[in-house]
Amino acid sequence: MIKIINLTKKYKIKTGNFRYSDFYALDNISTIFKENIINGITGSSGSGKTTLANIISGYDRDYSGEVLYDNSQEKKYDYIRYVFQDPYISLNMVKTVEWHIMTASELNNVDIESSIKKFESTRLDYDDYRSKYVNTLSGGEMQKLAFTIAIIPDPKYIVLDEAFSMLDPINLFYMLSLLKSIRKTISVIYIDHDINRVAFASDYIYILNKGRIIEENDTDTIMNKPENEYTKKLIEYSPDYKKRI
Amino acid sequence: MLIIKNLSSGYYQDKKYHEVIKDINLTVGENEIIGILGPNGSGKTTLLRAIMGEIYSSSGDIIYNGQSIFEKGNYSEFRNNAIYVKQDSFNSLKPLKSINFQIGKLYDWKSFDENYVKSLFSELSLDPAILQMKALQLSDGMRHRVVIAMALLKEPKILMLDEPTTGLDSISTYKLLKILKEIKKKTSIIISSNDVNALFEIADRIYIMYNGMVIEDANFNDLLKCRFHPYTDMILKYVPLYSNKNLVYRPVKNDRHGGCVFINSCPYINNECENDIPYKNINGHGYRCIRYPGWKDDKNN
Ligand code: SF4
Repeated sequence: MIKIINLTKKYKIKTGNFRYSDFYALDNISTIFKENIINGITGSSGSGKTTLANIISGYDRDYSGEVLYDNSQEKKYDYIRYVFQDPYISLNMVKTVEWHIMTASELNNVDIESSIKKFESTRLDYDDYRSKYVNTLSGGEMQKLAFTIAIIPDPKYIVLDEAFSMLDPINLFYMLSLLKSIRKTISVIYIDHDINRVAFASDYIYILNKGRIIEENDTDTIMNKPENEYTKKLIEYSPDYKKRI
Repeated sequence: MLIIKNLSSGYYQDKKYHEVIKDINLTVGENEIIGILGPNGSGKTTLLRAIMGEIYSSSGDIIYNGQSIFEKGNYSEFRNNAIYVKQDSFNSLKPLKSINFQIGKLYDWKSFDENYVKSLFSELSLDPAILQMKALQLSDGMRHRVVIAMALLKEPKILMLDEPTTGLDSISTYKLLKILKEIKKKTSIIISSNDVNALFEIADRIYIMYNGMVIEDANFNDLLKCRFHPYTDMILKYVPLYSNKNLVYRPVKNDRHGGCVFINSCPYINNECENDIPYKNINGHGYRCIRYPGWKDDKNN
């Protein structure tokens, strides 16, 4: 279980000559991300989603408040893995798919067979892809590879920050279904700006606005009986092919 | 107004020609929004570039107002009336310069009618105060809308947008789509996208591409009612929306060669599918599937 208590992150922003004011990227939030479910986080650009992801996964330590992993401030090496929106960050463009799978397996002491299985669970054929260089893959394929590498150590949690943004709809549908099927072994924190996609994937949803969690609840309640006006707006504006503008 | 006829196009690489799109037929009417829908790599951007005459076309024709743009003299006339907003142009404003400056540049620093600019901006619900702001100060959604407004300043008859909603959150996407609906009163629009939801919300007619070919095209409403091609049926069924939460998708993998472009992912194949598949048309609804309507009755549907 991941618990955050009074988490705050602020920046100084320049508002004039020699004048600065505080900008709260995260404003005193407390909550719990449960195990064995998909925790969905949504909100518009600039709502604090990425800042939150960076802090939970340990990439950003400059904050006030507390993050507890199973009630401890320290987390085990393979407790949590982060998949960034931009696959270029976690992949080496001039190495092959095979190199990535081998390296990740060795680093984490897992046998290659099980890593290959994980790669193939993203619906890419290992024999077709093993000798391909990362820079020849499409954005969607890179994102699948980055995802595979994150789950190779069987972490307790994975955090996905718009990590499937380059997939076409059918592959996205497939990958989100895959998340649902692994959530009993790898708990998921899924971040996406579209509330409808988040609701498709998640069991529980957090709505972020201006650095605050303005509403959180199980998916059906959020979608059918949202309380906050902003949540209602997100639902109303979420693109849906059956609606017409 | 614009008719694309049997167009095939591609790129030269190491002096060898690689065909990317094949036998494309597409018609754009006045004040119409045309959507081109397909996965990444299906040829959407290549098609837009071919329409602009930016790349080599090995066969086919592009007719603008009754005349081929490949004929002498017609091309520049077409280029003056069509604007293509590339995907990366949404990020190409100079961050530290004001929008006014960027518009000045657009007019090559010749004088321009500032009132016209202001009125256009207000028509698109863009506060004219934006003109004084630096590009850096605009939100992503605002920037996309400004880039599109700037393209409109040249009063094109055809506006082509490549993935205009990529990178935008839902509320910004909504605002952008609303603006496009407004713009349609002045110009025809072609939008390429892989976002089923956004396209069906505004496009009048949709062309679905797969592996370099158009595999289906129809009025959006007809497509919502009935799909003639299994791929279109699949992308409209498996949309990751809350309403589809309990739907299970079982991908298909076949091992066949040649014939239909969708052959290796299609649940309904039989031996006929290994032939060349002609593009057929029933009452303005085009499709490239040899088994329609037969596949609709298959057991695994
Ligand atoms: S022609 Fe055959 S393989 Fe192609 S879409 Fe139709 S049924 Fe499927």
